[in-house]
Amino acid sequence: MFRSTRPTRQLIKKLNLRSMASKPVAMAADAHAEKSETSDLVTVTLPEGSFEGYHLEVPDLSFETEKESLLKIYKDMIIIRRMEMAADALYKAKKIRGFCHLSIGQEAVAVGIENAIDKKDTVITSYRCHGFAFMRGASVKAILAELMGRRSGVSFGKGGSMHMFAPGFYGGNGIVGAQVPMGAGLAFSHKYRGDKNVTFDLYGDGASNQGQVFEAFNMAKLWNLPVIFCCENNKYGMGTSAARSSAMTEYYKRGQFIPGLKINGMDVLATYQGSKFAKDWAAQGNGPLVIEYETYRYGGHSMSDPGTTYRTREEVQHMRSRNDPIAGLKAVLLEKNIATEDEIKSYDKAARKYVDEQVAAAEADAPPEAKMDILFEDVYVPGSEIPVLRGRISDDTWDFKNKAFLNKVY
Amino acid sequence: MLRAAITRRCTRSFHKSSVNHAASIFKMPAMSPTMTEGGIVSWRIKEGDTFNAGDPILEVETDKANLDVEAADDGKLWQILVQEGASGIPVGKAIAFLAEVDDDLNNLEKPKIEEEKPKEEPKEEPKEEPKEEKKEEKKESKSNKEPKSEPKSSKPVKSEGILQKANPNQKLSPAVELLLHDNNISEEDAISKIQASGPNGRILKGDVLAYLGSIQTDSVVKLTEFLKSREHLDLSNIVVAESKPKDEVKSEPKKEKPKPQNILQFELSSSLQEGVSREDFEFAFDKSIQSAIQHTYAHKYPEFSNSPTASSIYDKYDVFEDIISPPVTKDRFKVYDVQFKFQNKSIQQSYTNFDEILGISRQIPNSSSNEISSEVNIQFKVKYDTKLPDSRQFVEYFEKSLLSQVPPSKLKITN
Repeated sequence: MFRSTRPTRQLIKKLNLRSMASKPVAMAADAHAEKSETSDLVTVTLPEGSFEGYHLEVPDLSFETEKESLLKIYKDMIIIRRMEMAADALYKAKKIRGFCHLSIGQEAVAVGIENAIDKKDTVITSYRCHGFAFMRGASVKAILAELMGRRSGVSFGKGGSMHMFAPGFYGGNGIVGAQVPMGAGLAFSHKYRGDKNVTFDLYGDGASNQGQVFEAFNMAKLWNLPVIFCCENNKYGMGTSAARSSAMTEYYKRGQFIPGLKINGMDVLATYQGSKFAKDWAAQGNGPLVIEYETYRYGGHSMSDPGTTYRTREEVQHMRSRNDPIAGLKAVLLEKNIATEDEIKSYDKAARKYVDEQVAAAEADAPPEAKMDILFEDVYVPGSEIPVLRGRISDDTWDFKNKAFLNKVY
Repeated sequence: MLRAAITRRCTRSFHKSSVNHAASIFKMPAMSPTMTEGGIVSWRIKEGDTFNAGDPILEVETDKANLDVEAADDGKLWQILVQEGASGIPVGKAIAFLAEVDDDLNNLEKPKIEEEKPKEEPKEEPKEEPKEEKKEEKKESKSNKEPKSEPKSSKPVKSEGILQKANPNQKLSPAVELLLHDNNISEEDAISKIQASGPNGRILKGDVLAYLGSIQTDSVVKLTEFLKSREHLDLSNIVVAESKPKDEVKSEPKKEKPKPQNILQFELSSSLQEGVSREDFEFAFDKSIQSAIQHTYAHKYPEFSNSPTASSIYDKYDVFEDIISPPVTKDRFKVYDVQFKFQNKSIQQSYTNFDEILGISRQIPNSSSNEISSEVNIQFKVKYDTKLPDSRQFVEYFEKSLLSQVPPSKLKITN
């Protein structure tokens, strides 16, 4: 027994150290692990009721996966949790200003989706985007730096919490529901190019009542686009519970003519299996799918919402203690003998230390210089700029070639 | 086994090494973006108690409300530094030490707050202070400039209350900015030299034009005075209107009831010749009116001149005609209330055109032999449709065609 697990554990430790150091290295290590440990499979059986279908046969409740990938999922989740907690502390220390929406409690959605898709698939979401940005490849430091308005941030310190981007990740969008039709457009590009990739198009339960969501549903079904509309139902749109804002709260049936799937969004293995099923479904040319991830946020809607005026503290604590996605996966890891209690604790500590280091590093970075050309540098992809970007008056007209105002008075 | 033990030891050592900051400092959190300081209403847990993530640790009083501060993570409250009831604690000040759940409190090292304090606070303070100083300096320098430049630019204007010094903190409007740029005046010069007439010392376009001499300063002053006089609605002179006596109210509408503009009264007189019964005359007159109407319509719509009635339905006309002018089938005017008054007078009637019309069915009488002829006064009204733009023309043509048949002296049209 020890013989078979020993190398794994050693690897885990290596991997643990490395993944905390830098993500690409960790991924390389993962790839290596997958090759050498192909036999190291576990069978996961999800509880009944993890899925509910609408005009759809639900995915299998039991599936096989590698132990390594379960560990990776766990580490990803704790890093996101720690990162969001760091953001919370930084906000309360007034080092992050402005908008900030945290996803503490909703980690399973971002992690489950990312582990089910590949890098060529596209993801787009609303403003609760830190976890997705991290999963799509942005570093913790870059995300925290962006939150604190540093030049080393993912959007060069000019976007902030709502506007984070990464390869294959199209934001980070501030307008409620406006990303849904854009996601349909991303799916159209997949179809147009003829690749077998799909788009995960996320929105909240509050945004699900936006008209453009239904417009996107219609076009996606009409053109059979490989898009998965994902409603992250965290039960409250700002301070209004789903039942008080929506005539029908079964968001996975909202597609009407599009099949739907409801997934327990507090179980990362369910979100993983469900997202994987959805990806295959859309990639095989079955058209769009509407998914509802039933999840929960522990914090307020944003940093200016204490989050306890429209729900009881008991409700939040109940969800924390009974349905926490991290605690849930931890139980599975222990039950399947994939990791011991001590090891899991060491991962937690390492994640905390790693995030603390990244906070310090991000904080040490400089904010963008107060230069005019920094304002205009990300308007166009470099090399594709128009010669002159017209402004409010001639003084505001920006000359991209000379990197100056055309008619400078300031 | 051994190896496993070794690896476990490794993990433990790793575990220990990772815990550098044994106890962490709990600082006064900003519970809202505008909060700068707050008070501690109560500590929800005692020193030495453990707490779970999400548990309220303390209640904080902010400028807006009392809020519970939740724990972000599991932990233990080691020591409270600021007791209940304290108020005005600045955000970021250490208020407690937190330890981890499994930490042994006896062996923990207290983190040094004093070291961190000077690091953080001086950082903030020097940053703020120089800014303020600089601002003051700027203000001073500007205020120094102002008096110097005043005698140069400002012509003595009577109304000092109207034109004031330009507010140095303003953002110039695009119109002003453009004018200044065109005339090579720097913003600083503008603020120090140009007198402002806008609200709160805002430089308006007119001020710049006056400064440049392209308009008179007086006109700016006048205009500003006028605007200022109209700035506030003066309601002091408003008196509740007296209710007018009812009689007047009643009588007025009677007077005012105007005659409908679109009704024309026609009066004409004719002589009834011998042998023509009244019924015949009435019939003939009706016929003549009908033919006059048809004439009128035929004049406007020659292609329908042969239609049996003026308003008969034809579909052949151009579709667009409908948009430009109302269709032929629309009745432009109506002749009604035709009244005949027969007077038996033996006045010799001479031959008239009208008689000719009347004599459609009759032979032309020998006018000379008409000894006993009776006078007929005919009144009728014409009402035309004001909604149609060309109905008035129709009526005019109708009048003409009647006049062509009746001598003008005998036809009287009143509105």
